[in-house]
Amino acid sequence: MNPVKSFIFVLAWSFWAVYVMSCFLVGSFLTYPYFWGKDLEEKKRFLDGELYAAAKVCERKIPATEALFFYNPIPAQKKHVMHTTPFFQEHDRQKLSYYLYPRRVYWEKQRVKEPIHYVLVYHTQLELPDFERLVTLSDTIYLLKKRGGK
Amino acid sequence: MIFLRFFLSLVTPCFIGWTAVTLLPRRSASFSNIEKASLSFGLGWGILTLEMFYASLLKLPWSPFLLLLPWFVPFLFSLRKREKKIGGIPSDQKIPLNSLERNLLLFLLFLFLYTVIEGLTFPLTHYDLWDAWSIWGQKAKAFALRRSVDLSFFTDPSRFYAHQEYPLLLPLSESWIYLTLGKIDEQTVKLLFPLFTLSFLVLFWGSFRREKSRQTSLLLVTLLATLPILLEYTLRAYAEIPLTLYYTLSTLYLYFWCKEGKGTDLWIGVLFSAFSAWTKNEGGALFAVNAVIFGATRFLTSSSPVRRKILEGGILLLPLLLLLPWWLFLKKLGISSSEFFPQLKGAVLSTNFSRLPIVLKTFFWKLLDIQRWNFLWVGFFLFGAVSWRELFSFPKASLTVALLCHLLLYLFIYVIHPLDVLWAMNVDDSFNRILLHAAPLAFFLLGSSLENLDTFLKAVYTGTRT
Repeated sequence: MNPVKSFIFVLAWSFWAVYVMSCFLVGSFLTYPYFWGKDLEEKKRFLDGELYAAAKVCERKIPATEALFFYNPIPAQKKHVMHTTPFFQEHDRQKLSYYLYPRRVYWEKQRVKEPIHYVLVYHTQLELPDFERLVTLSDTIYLLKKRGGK
Repeated sequence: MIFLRFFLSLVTPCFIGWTAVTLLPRRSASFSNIEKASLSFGLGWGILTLEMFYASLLKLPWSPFLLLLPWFVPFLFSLRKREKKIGGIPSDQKIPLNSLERNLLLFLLFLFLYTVIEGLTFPLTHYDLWDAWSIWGQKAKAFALRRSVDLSFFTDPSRFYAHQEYPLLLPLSESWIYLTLGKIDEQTVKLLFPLFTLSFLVLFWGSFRREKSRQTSLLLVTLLATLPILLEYTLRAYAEIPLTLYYTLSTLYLYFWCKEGKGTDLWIGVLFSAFSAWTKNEGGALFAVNAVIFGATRFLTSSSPVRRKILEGGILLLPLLLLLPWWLFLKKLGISSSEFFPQLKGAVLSTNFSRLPIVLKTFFWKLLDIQRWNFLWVGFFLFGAVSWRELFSFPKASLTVALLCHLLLYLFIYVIHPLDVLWAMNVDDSFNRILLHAAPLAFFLLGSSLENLDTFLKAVYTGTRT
């Protein structure tokens, strides 16, 4: 590439980089002022809200060797992997699996390979006669335990 | 305290990497100290994580003593070994930095600190960082808690979303950091990524140094460092940055090996190829492409005896040996090592061939996105159209062909992709992400063809002083 073209290329790149970098800096430092100075626990609680609270409760209530089943009577509305409602979308189920490791978290009945003694359910009208309510996590989220189970 | 522990976690990989660097063939190019440190970092993480995996297979614990044990004797040997500098570091190495270089370095330092601070803003579990926690982070947490590559993790249906077939360099690196920290800290572990980017930029600078002056190389690396997508993925804690380091540098070192015939370049190229396959499955396919292209180039152009060529060919295939236990491990568990292998059928190819226009159209528009790529791809393809003779002249032709094969490979992946093609190309920025692996090579070809930048820089420098 001849010197003039090289010069133009470097100059154009630099100007555009300055513009994009400014957007980056302004965007990143102003978008989430909440996060500055907070500790990890607070950040998780802020980012995942109800989900993180549910994970903490499950962590206390469910033994590490027990599996958990999400009962989802409401089918996902969107194809995209990112969530649209607070619970039962792919994101939240996987995130709960992440937080609850080593507990196994199932969400499809066909994949369940072991007796299930705990169910996390997100539906006010739902009745699961074999299970009793262990904890109310919010208005619509319950952690159920199998009657007579472990 | 937590940062101190984080830096302690770097001691073991850097020690292993440094020892490996000093064991490289003597009659070869020598490296500046900063390049040695970056090489140690890259090689160290690759070797350490492979050792951790082998130790798990043998049911051995992950203690630093045990993992360092194979390196004590080589370390003692390396202390006795004196480096021979034959045509290695260019003569301007000891000239003090001029003001332009100091300013560029300050700017790079600012970028590094920005990625550190911004990276620490969000934990790895941020919902936008999908792969970071659901694939890499989940494995890292599981292995750190079990202190081993847990077999049940791979067979348990409740964990199948974590892509069991993906290689383990990144999860095991994160596990190692968690173990040194003494807890699962999804925030501090993100410090690893700015360090990977820094090592990448230093080694990329070292590659430019072989063709350009010190200040031009520094200017070009600074330009690359401002590439928006590079900064973005440094912050995202995905495997893209480690793979970019390993793949780009393996390709460049193999290119230099073809060009200059130095054994050190071959060894680093081969080890980095192995680690790129150990980082992501794409790395394995890219290694295969590189082995064919650079192996053939060397075989056809070198005047070495046939016996030496055969030996070099054997070294080139070393990654297969290093990764064989991993592939056998997956095979034993009945896990396919790639979701794309079942797609390699005539019927799928003939059915999916109609996707090609969509794939090419999406590819074209992605490349034009200057918000993400600056003028990299626009400049590269314009330059290629005008100066194709230069790009296809020896020895640069091997690098150009490798890059083109790389792009074609990725286009092919989307043609045979098992899911809806537009969804697959756009979900979680998938296509831009994989283009990042190839971007530095395009930048290298473009940057190395820029002429008389020194004269221009000198004019700017004297202009600013007067």
